[in-house]
Amino acid sequence: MTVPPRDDATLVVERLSVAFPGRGGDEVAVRDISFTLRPGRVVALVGESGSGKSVTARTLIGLAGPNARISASRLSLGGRDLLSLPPRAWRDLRGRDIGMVLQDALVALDPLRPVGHEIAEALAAHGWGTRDSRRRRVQDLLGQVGIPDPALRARQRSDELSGGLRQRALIASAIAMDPPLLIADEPTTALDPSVQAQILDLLATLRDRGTGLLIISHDLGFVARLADEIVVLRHGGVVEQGDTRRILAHPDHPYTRALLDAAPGRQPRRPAPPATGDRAPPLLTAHGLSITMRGPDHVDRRIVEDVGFALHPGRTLGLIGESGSGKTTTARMVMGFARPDSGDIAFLDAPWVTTGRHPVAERERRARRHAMAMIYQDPLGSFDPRWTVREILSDALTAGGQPGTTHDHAITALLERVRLPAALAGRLPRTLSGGQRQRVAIARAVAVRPAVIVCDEPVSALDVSVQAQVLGLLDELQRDLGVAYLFISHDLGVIRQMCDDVLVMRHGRIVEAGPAGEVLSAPRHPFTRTLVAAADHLSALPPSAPRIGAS
Amino acid sequence: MTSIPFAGRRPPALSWRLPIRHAGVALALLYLVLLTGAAIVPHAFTHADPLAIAPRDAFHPPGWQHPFGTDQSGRDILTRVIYGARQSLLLGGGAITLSLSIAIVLALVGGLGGPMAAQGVRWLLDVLFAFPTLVLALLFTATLGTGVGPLIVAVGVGSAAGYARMVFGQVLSVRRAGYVEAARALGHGPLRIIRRHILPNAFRPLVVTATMGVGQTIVWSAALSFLGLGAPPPAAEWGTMLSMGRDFVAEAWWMTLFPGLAIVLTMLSTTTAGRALQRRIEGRAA
Amino acid sequence: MTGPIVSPERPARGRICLLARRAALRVGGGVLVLFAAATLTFAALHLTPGDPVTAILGGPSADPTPETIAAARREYGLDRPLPVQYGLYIARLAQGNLGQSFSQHMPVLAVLRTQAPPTLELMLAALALAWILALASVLLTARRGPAGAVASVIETIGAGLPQFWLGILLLWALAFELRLFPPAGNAGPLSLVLPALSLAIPLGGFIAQVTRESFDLALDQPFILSARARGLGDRAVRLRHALRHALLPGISLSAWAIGALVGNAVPIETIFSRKGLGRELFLAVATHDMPLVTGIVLFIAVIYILAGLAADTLYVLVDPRMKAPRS
Repeated sequence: MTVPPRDDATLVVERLSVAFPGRGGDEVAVRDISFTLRPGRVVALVGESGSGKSVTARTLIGLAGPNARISASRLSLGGRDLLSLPPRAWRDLRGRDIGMVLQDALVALDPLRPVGHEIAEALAAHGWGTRDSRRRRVQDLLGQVGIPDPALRARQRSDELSGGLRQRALIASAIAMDPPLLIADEPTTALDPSVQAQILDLLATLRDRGTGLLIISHDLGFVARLADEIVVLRHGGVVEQGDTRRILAHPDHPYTRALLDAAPGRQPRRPAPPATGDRAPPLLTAHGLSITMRGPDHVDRRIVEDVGFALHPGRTLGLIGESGSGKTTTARMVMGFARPDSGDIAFLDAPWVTTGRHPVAERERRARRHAMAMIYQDPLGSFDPRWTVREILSDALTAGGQPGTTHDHAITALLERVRLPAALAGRLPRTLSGGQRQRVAIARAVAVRPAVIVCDEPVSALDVSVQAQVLGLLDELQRDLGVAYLFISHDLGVIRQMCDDVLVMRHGRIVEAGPAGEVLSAPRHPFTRTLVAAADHLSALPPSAPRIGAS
Repeated sequence: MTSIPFAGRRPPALSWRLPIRHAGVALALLYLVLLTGAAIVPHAFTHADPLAIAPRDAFHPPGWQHPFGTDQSGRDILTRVIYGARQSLLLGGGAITLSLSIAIVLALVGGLGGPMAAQGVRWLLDVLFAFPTLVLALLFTATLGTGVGPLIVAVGVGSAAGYARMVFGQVLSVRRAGYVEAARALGHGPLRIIRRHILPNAFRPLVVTATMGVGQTIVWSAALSFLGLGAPPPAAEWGTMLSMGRDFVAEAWWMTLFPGLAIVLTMLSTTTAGRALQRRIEGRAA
Repeated sequence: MTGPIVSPERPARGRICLLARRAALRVGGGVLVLFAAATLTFAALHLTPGDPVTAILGGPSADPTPETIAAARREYGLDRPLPVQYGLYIARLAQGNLGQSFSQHMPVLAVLRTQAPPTLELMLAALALAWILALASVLLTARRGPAGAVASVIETIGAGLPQFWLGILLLWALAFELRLFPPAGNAGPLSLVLPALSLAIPLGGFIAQVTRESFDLALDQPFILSARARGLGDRAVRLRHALRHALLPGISLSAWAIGALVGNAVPIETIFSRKGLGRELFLAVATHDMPLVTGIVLFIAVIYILAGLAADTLYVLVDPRMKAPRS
């Protein structure tokens, strides 16, 4: 195999701009980006959604789309001008000179084909070897990215592999031709933290072997672990650019500082709760909850096993675990939407969910439902698509027992409470931004004056800076209204910031429980320890010391 | 962040595509307006009599005097096509109304009546699907005889299964929607949820279905008329005219072309109008 | 929530098990469908105003004597109470006995044996043609600027063409004017072209519409971007990745369409004077020939069930992920 000389593979980007024709003239997606990527070095593009980071990545491999207008004072790879490259030459370049890894290998690898075929395809596309030599090379590559038993794995599809294995397989397909440069577009987003940490290590290994990496991410802390140079993007333009250590230590631009501060791990830890909270009787107690559910393949599985906890007024109980650990199902049982096989829940001193011969009927729960509200990860799905913000809130006020004549006034007050302009009342939720939608969902939740709000991953679909605002709002509401939260998240930083107590779930069971400060700083269970270690490993940002009082 | 930045963005609607689409919708609406006009006041569009015979004028090819030509008895095809509009719209409208009514009842029973009812409706639909529309319609005309009423029933029942499956699916998907659960979480009762969320959201797309369905049922009823199950021959009915045209296709192609064109244009217009309506409902105004 | 990972040791056996279970469900459901179809047909024809005896004795013009009528009634069991007739009817069907055709004076099975092959031939030819037209249209034009838009309009028009009208026009243009194909009959493959085309063009339009939509969706998927980033060309991306994802809706549609094709064959077989089930069904309905109608309807139901089974199998072959059975 011929490897091009590595020092000849420097990617030079000077004043790159990309625009797309829109309705009102050209829409500039990327403006004047410059950087140089050398083999063995790591450059990171960091920004929130809409910052132009993914468009930049696609432009660099010639896949920005037929409508893209690309201009640059220089765009070259190893001295070769890329701006005037014909399509056929682009195709030769992709995969051989520059590889690319996308987020979420479940869909970034063809879900109908075995991963081995996908990797072999990268070889065949460049006319590499024979069928037999390609098969050997595929197994070799799978071994290189740390996949055990490569002969078996090569025959499996991405949905038959675990999250970590399939992301590794995706990386194997991108480095099949041993490209000197690799672009990784959100390579770990949507993966569980422990898997993220493994992928991070794999990328570091590739760098050490001499591959140049361009990492694209929304997470400044994550890229700081790898990058030599960071480019911070916002609305398509460069906000700040420079050496990683310098940016972390002395960010020049306020936006960079805001991004750094917003990172959940950087938020001050929650101050220790007032001791009175312990003495107050719990609002909600759950005992021995277990549930078995039938999967799409008609196989029954125990999803939650023997889960119990108590939620006290004005406090936040965090529920943390990786995907599939049973967090959401537990929340659904608490809401009375999923009926447990065994166990019971008491709420406000009365049975709420019971099992056995005479389970509590939905009818009995209905009258008390206004005392328990819920905030979903996907607020848009929880709004009737025909309804405006006003109708959504009015409906909730009705449920909370407020007479219709007071609604206009109450809606204005609610919107003010969640810091939304009153003018938004006439809008449909789908025309709002993600952060605004979640605020509407929060307004709906507090409209019924609940004692408990169940929050299911309420910020995981939001940009980091918006996350910080929404979490701040939830915190403020708790102080003002004294509601208790059952707070579900996979993000340790968010849990650390929000929760008084935590439950750590794994495979449907609680493996550790206790005050958040203790559990997260001195975890006892090995699983909690891996979780905490992964979270620390993933962020180069030093966790800030707890400040006195809230911000 | 779980949003996946896919292949960049979809290419924005290109400049030439939008005006063409608007023009298509405008033409479709114009045709439907003319068709409705012809159905209500056919004599405003033509002075000729659709049934009057003039043997000397037989088999005139399309020309100045007879833009669509004449048939074997010298009747003006254009006039007959215009007079056929009423019958067609009546059949199409009646059949789709019946069809959707059946579909809605089945969907409501299956979607709101619990798991047993859902299974029952699923089975019933499976059985109905084993009867192709035209076959079921044939069986019904055998039972009910020929004429407008039986034709409406035959086509309406015959095409109900397809619509029922669609509406049933919609009711089920709306029932599982996040906003229905959110309404339960607020403590709203089942009746209020059905009235305020499930019915409006499940049935809103039916406007589109009904619009498109009129064209489709007109085609089905024309097929039955063509087989001789509609009005008997001299009648100015599109399907009947086609069946007359078939006998003379070697001599007078226009007898077949123009009534068929009317059917096709009706179908295309309702489809185009339905899609425009759908885009509007879904808010993809582009 | 993501389910646990399928154990890698026996993916093949799991798939076969699933296929077998699905097939069993299908067959069970199929028997039920057949039973219901038979019942429905029985009900439809016994509510008919016309008297089957008239049909047996040669139609309304035969004017038989009351004695003959009574004799025929006894012979065909029409003098018994309806529930008894129904029971006997179902019992006979369960034994595979479809009875005698009133109008043709021969066993229904014999009628089916001579009439089914030409219709099946027509059906399969139409289905194959429809897929060829649809795939050509989608693969060559999807996402290719104006060509795609034009093809999409053509597909919409095609899907809206009534088969019988198309049939007459093709007959006129290609058989009478250009004399390329025989206008009628069952002789040889050439006689199959026009009727198959009349059925295939609208069906092809339908299949192309759904395939184009899913093909478009597939082209937006991340794995397509991955494949391109690997250096794959446009054609390879379309054929090896996007196409397979785009096939499923068309397959579902085809399973339904096979039944519909028999229905649509009624006018087509009439126009082209072809032998076949469609024309036979029409005649049987017109003469109230109940056993024959039942026989043909049940035959269509069997075809529909088999088509569903075939579609299920294809479904799993195209998409090997464990999918819930088609609803």
